[in-house]
Amino acid sequence: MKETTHFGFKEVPVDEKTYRVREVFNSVAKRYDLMNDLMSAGLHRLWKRVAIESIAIRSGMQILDLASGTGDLARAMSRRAGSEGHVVLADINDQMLRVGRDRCIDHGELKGLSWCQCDAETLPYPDQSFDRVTIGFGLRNVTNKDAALHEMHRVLKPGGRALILEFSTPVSAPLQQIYDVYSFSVLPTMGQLVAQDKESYQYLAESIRKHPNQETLAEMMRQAGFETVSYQNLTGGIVAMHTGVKS
Amino acid sequence: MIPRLMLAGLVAASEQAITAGMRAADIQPEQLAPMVGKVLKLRITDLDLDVWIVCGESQWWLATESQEAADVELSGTLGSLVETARSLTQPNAPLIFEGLDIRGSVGVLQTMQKTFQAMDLDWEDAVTQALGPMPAGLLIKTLRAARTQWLTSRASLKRQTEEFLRTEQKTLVTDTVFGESESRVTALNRQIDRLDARIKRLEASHG
Repeated sequence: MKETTHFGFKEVPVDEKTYRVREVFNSVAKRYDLMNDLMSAGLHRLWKRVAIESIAIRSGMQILDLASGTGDLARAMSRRAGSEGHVVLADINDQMLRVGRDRCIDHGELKGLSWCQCDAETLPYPDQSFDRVTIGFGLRNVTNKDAALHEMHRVLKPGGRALILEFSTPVSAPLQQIYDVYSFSVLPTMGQLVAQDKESYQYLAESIRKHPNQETLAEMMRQAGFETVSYQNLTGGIVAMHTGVKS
Repeated sequence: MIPRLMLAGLVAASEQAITAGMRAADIQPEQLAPMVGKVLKLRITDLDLDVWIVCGESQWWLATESQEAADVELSGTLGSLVETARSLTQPNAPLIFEGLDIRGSVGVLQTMQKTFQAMDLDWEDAVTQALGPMPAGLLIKTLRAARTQWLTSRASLKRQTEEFLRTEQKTLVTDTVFGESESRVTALNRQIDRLDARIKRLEASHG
């Protein structure tokens, strides 16, 4: 019998999930940034800012941004890394990378950036290549999260830091209830109205619920070899920011 | 305590204001070059807040999350930090560190002072260019009046407090004096109790 994994609340064969996730992001790529602003009321910008602050980016650093998508996190990091630094925008989805590259061109920000279409579970980089590895709102879409975490650890230089910014589990029950109503009623409707794609946004809401909670993800990072693993809840745990260091 | 996301918003807005100010002052990357890579940590004691300034190639970044090691750490009240910041921008002025605790390299601050002094930081000119002469004139006048008013009020409050403390010094009871008096009263009370008991004992023995 074929091994299965979750795709939102559905169970699908493991080798089918990557394809299905790609379809979702192909569908939402062009309106992804607009939808992020609408869905989070602009809060995703502050979440990303806090996340970038937390990993102490310095001039000249080599950074890998996984599930980079439209590249807003990568662009912000690139500005801090300066002309001596380098940021690789990596994503499994070519449509998202194209949109991201167009955004960079529009902003006149190309120096110190490069693009790579690759799977986070099998990174095409040698060991100890990067000072920082980040993944923002992408880990929940990865089929084998343990493999991705091991790869993040492998490509980090000793002393390097990994950052995972992801939707998580609200810490209070009333907030959880409000969040559930929002995710399963408002979000798909908004997706239908703005992006004409209700199913993709239904998947996004479901995939958030299937993602490991704060403690579980922290333990997964420790299992992958990270040390000094810690997490901080943002907006009551709707989003969690995990960091770990490679010793 | 300021919520983290609100703080992030405030810091982002401050960072943009600094960047806009630098752009208005026409600061070139070469002028910022001596500070590139330097990290300053400001510990604002009265707000219980840490702010890091990370000097980049084209702009300076602010952060409220730990930025690991800092080249220099300044710790003090908001007022004393503002005074130091002002002294950094004044031409031919010595660095003023009144009320500040400094750890790390003061050389970074000296480099920063040199960088600032090499710049033409005329904020009034920048505001005039951005808003036009009429609105800028009104804004500048208002800000100057507000600053003068604030300085006068601060000086007046300080003077009144000093006068009050000086005149009331004799009648004011310090914590130590109060403690000493209280212990003396307690000791007297115990003596009274002992004398009372002795009187009762004597009365009983002599009928």
